[in-house]
Amino acid sequence: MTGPTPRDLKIARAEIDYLAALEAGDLEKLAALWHRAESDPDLTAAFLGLSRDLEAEAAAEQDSAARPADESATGAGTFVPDEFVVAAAAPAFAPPSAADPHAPPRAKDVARRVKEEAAAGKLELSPQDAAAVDSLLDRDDPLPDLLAMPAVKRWTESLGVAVGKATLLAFRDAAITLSFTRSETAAGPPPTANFLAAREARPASGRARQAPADPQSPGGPREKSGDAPETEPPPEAT
Amino acid sequence: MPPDPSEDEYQARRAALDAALSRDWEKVRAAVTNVVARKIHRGSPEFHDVVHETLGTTLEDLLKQAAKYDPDRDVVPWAARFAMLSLSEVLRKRGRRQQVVAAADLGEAWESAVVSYHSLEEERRREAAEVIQAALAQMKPDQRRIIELMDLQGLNYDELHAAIGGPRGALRMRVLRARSAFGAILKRMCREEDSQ
Repeated sequence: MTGPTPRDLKIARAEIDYLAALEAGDLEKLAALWHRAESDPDLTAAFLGLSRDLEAEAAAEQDSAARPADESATGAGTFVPDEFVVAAAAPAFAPPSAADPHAPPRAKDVARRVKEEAAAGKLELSPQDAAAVDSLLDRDDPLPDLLAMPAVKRWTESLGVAVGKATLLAFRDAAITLSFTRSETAAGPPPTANFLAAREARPASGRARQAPADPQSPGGPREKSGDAPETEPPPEAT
Repeated sequence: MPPDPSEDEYQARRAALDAALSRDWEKVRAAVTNVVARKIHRGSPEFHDVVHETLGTTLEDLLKQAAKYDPDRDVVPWAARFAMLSLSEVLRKRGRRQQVVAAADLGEAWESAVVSYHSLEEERRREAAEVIQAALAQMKPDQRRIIELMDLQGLNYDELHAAIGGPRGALRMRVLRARSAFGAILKRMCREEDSQ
């Protein structure tokens, strides 16, 4: 064969399959492809390059879609103050998290998330705890640097709030999730070290650490469809 | 089953996982956002919710699996695999999995055609050329040209760019989309042939 090398073919074929799985929303196949990439640095690099290119493509599409909309909204030669343009573009009742999904979470964001989880039946709030969570819904206080349980307990007490252990755990887990997923800023990588290091210490038993202690918390055992990568890799798609 | 790691080893793996995630989490996020964007419009508030929920769930899973983290390996594919399975669960809970269909193996069709075209066996090469020409005839002109130059004539990316122009940064995606389209046509031709 005088064409592409077997290595080139293997990478290109995987890239084609990745794109096809992406377009089809075939998550099992995507997981299987990433599983293959775990032992193949070239494949990892190829998928990461693909992710970068797709991001760039999406950004370019958003730019080109936004430009004509802005022009038609303002009209040629018409001065429109910026705040009106922004107000027109923003959804009328967008939640704060949608307005700035990358802002560091505040007490009110965590309280809102805990309330959502309670509303979804994932957490049971006593009337006292529900009132305590409600009292935080308009608090702009920043979260503590460390999100270990004692630190979170001290912090809620400093806000004049006392809640039960299950609610405190839910509060802590919501804070961890929000801190982590909102922390992608231009300044650099997310500060995972703080809260990862602040997680509960490893239980003495190796078996115990595989399952969180409190099934009430969002970090507790979750319903799985049997495809979690615990010990077995996901089946290769055919 | 491998033995449970010692406390010291566990802590070392955990620290390595922490460092690797701090460094590379954005790459996992990029992979997740690209997939979510295929299901939910990027401008929708639900888009951010799904990305956040998926990454949060992924993080929880990764922490539970810290004892199995291999510090000698890249964390990104390992975390990305967890992320895809987490996303699957998040979408299922939101009732969005019904639209999922199994992706066709377009890469196999593309690879088979290209390998046959460059085969040393005259007959195999001739047969492949006939199939390839029939497939190319069904392609858009710009994508057809990419396949001809890149996969049949063997140009590299720089040479291809010199030949077809356009933004250099978008070239890789253009090639990939052309190859996907080519694979899809070959796949369809195979199905039609089988059904006859």
